[in-house]
Amino acid sequence: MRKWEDIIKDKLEEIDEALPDSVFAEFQERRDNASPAAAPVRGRSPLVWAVVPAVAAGLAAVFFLRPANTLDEDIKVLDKTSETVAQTVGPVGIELPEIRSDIDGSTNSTVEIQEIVKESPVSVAANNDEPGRNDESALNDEPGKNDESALNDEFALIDESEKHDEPAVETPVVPAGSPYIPKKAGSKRVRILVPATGVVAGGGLIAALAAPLVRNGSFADADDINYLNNKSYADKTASALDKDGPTSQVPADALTGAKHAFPLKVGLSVGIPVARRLNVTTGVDYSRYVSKFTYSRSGEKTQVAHYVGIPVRLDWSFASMKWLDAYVGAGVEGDICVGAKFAGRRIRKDGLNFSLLGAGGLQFNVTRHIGLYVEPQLSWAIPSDAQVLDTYRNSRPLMFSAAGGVRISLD
Amino acid sequence: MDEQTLARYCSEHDIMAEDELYRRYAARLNSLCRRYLPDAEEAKDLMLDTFIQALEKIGSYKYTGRGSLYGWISRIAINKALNQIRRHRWRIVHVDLWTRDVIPEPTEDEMLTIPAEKIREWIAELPDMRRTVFNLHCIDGYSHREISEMLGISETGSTSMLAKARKRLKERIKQYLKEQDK
Repeated sequence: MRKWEDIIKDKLEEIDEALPDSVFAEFQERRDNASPAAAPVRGRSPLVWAVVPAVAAGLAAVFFLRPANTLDEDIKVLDKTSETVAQTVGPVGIELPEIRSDIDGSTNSTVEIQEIVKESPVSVAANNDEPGRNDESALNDEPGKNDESALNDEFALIDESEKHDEPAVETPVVPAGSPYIPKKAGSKRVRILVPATGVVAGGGLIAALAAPLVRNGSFADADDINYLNNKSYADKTASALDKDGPTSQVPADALTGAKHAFPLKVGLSVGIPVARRLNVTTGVDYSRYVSKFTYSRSGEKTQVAHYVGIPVRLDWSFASMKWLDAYVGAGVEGDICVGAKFAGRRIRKDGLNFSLLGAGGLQFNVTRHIGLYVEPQLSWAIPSDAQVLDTYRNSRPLMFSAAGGVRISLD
Repeated sequence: MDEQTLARYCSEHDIMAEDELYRRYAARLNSLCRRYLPDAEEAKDLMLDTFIQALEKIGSYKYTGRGSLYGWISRIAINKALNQIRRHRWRIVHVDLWTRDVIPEPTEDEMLTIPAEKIREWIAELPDMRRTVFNLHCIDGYSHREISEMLGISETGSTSMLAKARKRLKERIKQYLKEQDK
């Protein structure tokens, strides 16, 4: 007697559904379009297409934000009044034969043209016994001194007996009448510094946009009472205010400025699949809003508010690999203030507020069920009477943030 | 045309041979793909992708006997299906409140009364991982060790998923047979 699973196997193999001709045509079309390079999986965009623009932006920043640095090639003209032999040296320690160069017969002086290349591995040795000959002891900055010497043809040649074991390099031909020693190919060393901005441009947009923002206080009635009452406070408890009480502060201790720090947000989220590439993401977020208010008399005071929120978002995974997923999503978040302190004292908290969310992100799958995600988010806080605190949120309802956290994948 | 000759002509990019390869194995391969990816459109895409990849790599095929060409192509399809299933990182949690399997196994006679389409439908209803493990072990003959390596799970996990898949299928078979008796 056969096992029921073997019978299932036989029955499944009996299924022989004829495929329509359109499928055969589709096969022929794909076969004809198939190129030697592997085409992307149908229905899935390779993650590389998301990375290519980022890399291009980084390279563009490298090339356009900072010019390349090149080594300076110094050509220094030394005026020698007593010698008739011009000493020339090559840039890589190759000694060139002595030449005779008459610059100006009337002045009876010679001009030494010395080419200096920085960071040369070989110290240039003089052809004669004068060790200090090639020092930059004197510079002749008189114009015209260095453009009259006629170099012999010998100058362009390297004495074979003097050659060191150097790799063969191409020596350019010196035009007749040129005063300059031709540079050997390969002796120029060019350095292109990769600026930090190039790296930052590729991935620092989020950081730049997430930098703490400063906003000057713009309260019409800059005092504690009106600040705390600007969202229709019902209970103006004295403990929530400055120790001297509100009335003594008006108008002496006026609010002169406010700074809202960029909020910190961390979360734990869960993804639940609803379709092939659609997932509902939910979880718990914790946000911390810190604001500093400056008063004319009492100085700076800090407000710290803690929020717990539950986002619900529909995500579409547009690129997916074994260890990396990329997605975009939209949804809504409801959050509530669970604690708020002003100058160390508890104050009234915001009620339930809602925000509209838009996000895109990358999830790095550490294990099959756990991933670390990074999500640039755009959120818009829906105006509500439940907002009583003055925080970064209501100063900038449309807020860009970068969230990160741990996501559990359910199976 | 035997398999060896067919494969040789396909490696020479003979279009007639490639069409013959499709005509010979497409329906059967599509059924295999439907077992792993219940969605008909996904299964069709997987089948076509498998053929394209098989044609690209036909040069590496070694004839080892009758049926080896289909076996080679089906392994490509299974690997691609598993890649797709592994990419689907988010899953719905299935919690079995009662995991002990006390349902008697159906007899051969009972099984012969059940249409193949029904069985395929019940297998398609299984959660992704349980369906995959059932297909790999019971239909395609892979061991739990091989399954654990392919899916990145433990052997215990593979055994557990298979047990849950069997239990679910037996429940469906039992329910169907009860309805037929009425």
